[in-house]
Amino acid sequence: MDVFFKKNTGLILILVLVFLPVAIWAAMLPLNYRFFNLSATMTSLGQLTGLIGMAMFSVSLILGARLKFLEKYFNGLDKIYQNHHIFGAISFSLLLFHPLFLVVKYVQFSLRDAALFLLPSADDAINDGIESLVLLIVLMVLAFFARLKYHHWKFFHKFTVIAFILGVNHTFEIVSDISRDNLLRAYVLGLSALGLAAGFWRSFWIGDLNKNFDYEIVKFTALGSGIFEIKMAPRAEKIGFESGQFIFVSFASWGVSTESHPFSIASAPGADNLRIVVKALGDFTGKIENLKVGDKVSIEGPFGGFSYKKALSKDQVWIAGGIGITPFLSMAGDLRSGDGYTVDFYCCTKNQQEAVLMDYLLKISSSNKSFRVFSWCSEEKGYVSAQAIAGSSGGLQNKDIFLCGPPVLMESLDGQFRKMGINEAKIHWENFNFK
Amino acid sequence: MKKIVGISLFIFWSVVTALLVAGLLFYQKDPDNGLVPPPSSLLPDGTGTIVLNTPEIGKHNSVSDCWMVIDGKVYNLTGYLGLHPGGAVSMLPYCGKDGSQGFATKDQGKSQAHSSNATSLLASYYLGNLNQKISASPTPSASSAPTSVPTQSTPTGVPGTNVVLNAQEIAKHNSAGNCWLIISGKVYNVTAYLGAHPGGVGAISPYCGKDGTQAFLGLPHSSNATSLLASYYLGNLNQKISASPTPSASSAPTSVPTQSTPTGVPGTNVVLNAQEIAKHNSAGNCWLIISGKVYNVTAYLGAHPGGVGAISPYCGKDGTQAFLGLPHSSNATSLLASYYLGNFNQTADISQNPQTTVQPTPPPRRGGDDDDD
Repeated sequence: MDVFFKKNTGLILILVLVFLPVAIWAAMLPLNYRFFNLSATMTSLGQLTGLIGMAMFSVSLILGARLKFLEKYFNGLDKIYQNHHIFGAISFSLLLFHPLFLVVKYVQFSLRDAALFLLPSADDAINDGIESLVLLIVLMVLAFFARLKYHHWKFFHKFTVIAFILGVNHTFEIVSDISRDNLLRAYVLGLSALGLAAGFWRSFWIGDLNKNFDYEIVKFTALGSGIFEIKMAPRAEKIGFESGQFIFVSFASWGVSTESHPFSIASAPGADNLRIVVKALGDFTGKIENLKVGDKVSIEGPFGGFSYKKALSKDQVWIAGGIGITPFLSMAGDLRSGDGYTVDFYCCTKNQQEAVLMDYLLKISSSNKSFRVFSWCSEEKGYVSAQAIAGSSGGLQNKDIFLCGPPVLMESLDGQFRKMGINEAKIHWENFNFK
Repeated sequence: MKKIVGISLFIFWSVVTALLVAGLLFYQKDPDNGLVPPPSSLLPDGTGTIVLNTPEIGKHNSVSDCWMVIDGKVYNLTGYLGLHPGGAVSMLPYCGKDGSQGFATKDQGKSQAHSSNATSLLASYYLGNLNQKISASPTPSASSAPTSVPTQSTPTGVPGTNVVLNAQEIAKHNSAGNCWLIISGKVYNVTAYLGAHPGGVGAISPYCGKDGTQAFLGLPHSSNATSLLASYYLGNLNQKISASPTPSASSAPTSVPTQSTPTGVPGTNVVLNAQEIAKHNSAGNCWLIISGKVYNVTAYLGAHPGGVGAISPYCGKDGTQAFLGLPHSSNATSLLASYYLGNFNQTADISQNPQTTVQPTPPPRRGGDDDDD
């Protein structure tokens, strides 16, 4: 139970924030008045979808603002973004149903009245709602279904805040339970203000919410297979972090976009220089070869709670898929012979050519007998399975498992481990799909 | 998540497209003919004749008795008020008057026609053409008191006769404008209550003239609802009752039907003190004090955007705090004026229905986004 609360503090907080207004709403009138007949029930559902939808919208904006202090409730920024994504999607779906429920009572009388209800009219409060929803639909179709380049997606996603402002206007102008009940009004106003502040700050403020560190590139190496290693030295204050965490990096270089992107730190906390390892995969990282020694770098962070030190057991299995190896490089560099940790590291790549960082790992392994490295190439042996890992590692009893790699691989392995009866509290993973 | 969003978007656009196509493209204005002779339930029973001229129509100018002229035709819209999607409030200013303009524009200052559905609905409330002579009984509404409810005070027609509350008799009172029904073997005349029903008129009207026991018991009704019902009691099924002008006063075990109380005996003066006000403490008969002034808001309850339940706890009491503590528009305040009886502790002539003195000026608003009416 304790583990459950610790792992889900953030989720519980969200649900309380979202369902508190529902409780106030339910206490305002006896529920048999609310759900008396079809018309009343539909109106009530319309109110509920609007109320929950806007509360979740606010929460989603707060989660999307990359706030460092929230990390401890969610066990890492990656999990916060995941919740941002989930609650954003649910909120949007609920808001789509909001007018559909409300139009029912018009349909009962006349289809024409129903059609007119859905169109702009002389009522500004309803018009704000319509504008908000139309803008939101455009933005969400872009976010969920259009294959946009990252920086285009990021540009459009900012305007969600505008849809939110229109939605909040609608919420407070319309004659509803929010206008009738002071407590509900105060609550929704407060939550909306927080959402608006967070969303506006992250989307349109010049500068960042969190502390930024100035670095410059001191070494830039192509490792082959489109993988690059970037070493950076601090120009002033040095960033403090734990192995396994990640940072947002913004390069001030010709030919590379200045917008910030998340990268795992590959160097150990004690090292002089900060190291990241980047694979040229997307629109942004595809231009990474244009970086030069001496280019200035701005770093925001650190974020994330993916750390071998947080595990229950010092007996551990680490599994990396492809470029998901980067946080483990930092963690491996942090291990010391005789610190009590026994780690079996499975490094999964397509082929030997991609396993460009093996030499570095084998060097650590040769000086630390309790750190073993296994290379697994899918082109030779097929995809790695939980069974194979359990076999070569000598059983998984009481071991903590760390996963980082492509979502498909992580989900598959996570499922297999659970099937083997491994407690979910012992499985740790890093989600680096940030969109 | 992508799937949920995709499905929601699909449902949203399907419904919106279907409604817009059905409501706008396939909308054709019904030819303005085929109006049938007035359903008997809309008119007081009996044999007298009245002329549907302006003075006559002007008498039917309240929530509880609303006649209206639209394009030269006269309609008795009393029973429809509670069903109006735009709320009773937007129709009230036209009761007793020519509402053609309001009907054509929905008070929006530009042409915004009602649906063909609305037009055909209207037909069922048709009384006759302007200045036409129609037959009617010498009921109070036709002859004397300008605002009393014909159905409430004379449910059975000719004064002094006895009626048997059998199925045939009850079946005659089968509209929202004249609604008797049976619940658990007892007969009630709930016409005046319809507009105040929290579940809406539409939830009751299908049972007018019929047995509504199952519907009443099958839904959650408070003990309040049951005691309210008592005030509309006419008699037991198959019992013979005297159809005097105040049937429930003579036969009913409980109190007088409330709608008639505010109008009272012409020329009666009462002192608007706490005792007097406390008598009017139900949704069917609701007086209250706001800022030292006394209002009879019975007729307004059903039209309140916040629902009857938001007002009814203050019936017979001081509602100042509740009224001022909640956001009420200036419009609400001016509406209130039309229900003014007098100042607290002042002597007032309550024979004069307050609704006739001041016309409410409702907001030109389309039905609120989520008004719970």
